[in-house]
Amino acid sequence: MKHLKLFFVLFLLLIIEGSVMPVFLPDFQWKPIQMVPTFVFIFILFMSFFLSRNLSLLYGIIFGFLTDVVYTSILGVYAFCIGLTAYLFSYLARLFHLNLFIVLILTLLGISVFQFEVYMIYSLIGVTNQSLTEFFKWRLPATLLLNGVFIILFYYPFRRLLLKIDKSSD
Amino acid sequence: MPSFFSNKRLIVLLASIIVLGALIGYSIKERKQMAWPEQFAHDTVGLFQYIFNRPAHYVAGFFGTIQDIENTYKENKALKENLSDYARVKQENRDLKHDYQDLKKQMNLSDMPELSDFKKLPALVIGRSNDGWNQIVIVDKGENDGIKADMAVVTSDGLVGKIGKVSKFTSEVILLTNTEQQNQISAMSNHVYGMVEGYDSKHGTLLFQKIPIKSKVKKGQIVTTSGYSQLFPSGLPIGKITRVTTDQYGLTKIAQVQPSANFNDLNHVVIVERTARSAATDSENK
Repeated sequence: MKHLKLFFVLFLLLIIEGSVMPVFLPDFQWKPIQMVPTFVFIFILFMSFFLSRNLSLLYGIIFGFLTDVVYTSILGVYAFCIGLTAYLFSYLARLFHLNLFIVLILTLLGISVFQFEVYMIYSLIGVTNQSLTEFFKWRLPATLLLNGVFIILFYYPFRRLLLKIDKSSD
Repeated sequence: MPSFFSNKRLIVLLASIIVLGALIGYSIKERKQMAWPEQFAHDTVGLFQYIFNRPAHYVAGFFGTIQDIENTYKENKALKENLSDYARVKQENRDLKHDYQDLKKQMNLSDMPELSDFKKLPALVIGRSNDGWNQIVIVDKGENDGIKADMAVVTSDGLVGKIGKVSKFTSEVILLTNTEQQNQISAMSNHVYGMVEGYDSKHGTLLFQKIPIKSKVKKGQIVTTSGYSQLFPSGLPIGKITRVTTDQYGLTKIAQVQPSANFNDLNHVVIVERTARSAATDSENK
């Protein structure tokens, strides 16, 4: 039951990322702004904060790989980066008392680290030729803004869901 | 956290980096066909993408309509100006076509398909890679609908890309803006031939390269496909030349081409299957 719920939510977010958001996101033809929804990653991070480290690692790898298969041409990059970042940030989160503000800061930091990892691997193998300045100037701020709004909107529902799942599994 | 970089964790991390490297190596070489687990994932996700994507388009379309109504007057005025010439051009076109067919018949060439003839396979965009680096969209037609790798994909405005990997019910379109899987498209502008390859993300232009140095390409000329690529028909519009420079060795010219299709707003696309034979289809039939 626990796994079914988690899988359902993550799958829904995966579909929304790829099929619903591109329709609604404004297109910035006048500037090379890139606004990237990373909702699956946000939920994986929340799992590592509120549920368990190993579960978030497992789901991070599964859904990272699904993202790789469906939306990209190179396998394994997202699986590796989501898994690694979620694992590292679950340790970082132990140092803090978690409330909305701390979670927001931690998750935005996590998104930055995650995007940077993917960026490094992609520029290494030549998927993108975006320069580092473009990445920091046009991509990261817009991405953090979009995902920050998403985190604030969905912090309480996600936390309630995860704590409920955590309690029922004990 | 003294125990964080313990031996076990370090070994797992190294092992996963090796696995990552192997996976990248596997996927970086050009593949036309997906492995069956990939196909399964693609088709299953594709079904849900379709279910979620259509209502999203309707909602977006509703707001779009309100904007359209505001613009209608301006658009109508511009269209009317363009339309004044239309009837004459249409008639001229019809006459020329008739003459052409007649001449062809006289030469006993009438059953040879033209390079520019193609069959249209309409498709809907149901998903898009959202990270901005992979310029890939997913369409709802696949192998079962007769889609093959490397077919051209167009919108009403012009060429947008080519088919990449194909699964049973869905396939991915590699857009012209993709930098990794370079689309090399044999193109021409006013009977000057070259290749369209590479995308300049800073200016938002495609690069029309390998143009002979002495040829006269000018700003404002229209670039189309030449039909000498594997599966592309000729005459699909690609874009308009905005700037002409020479390459770094001074041997050929490079033109920057403003693509005529809008890559950010893709909804309905047409997959193009050319009627003329090509080396690829010939080798398949053997």
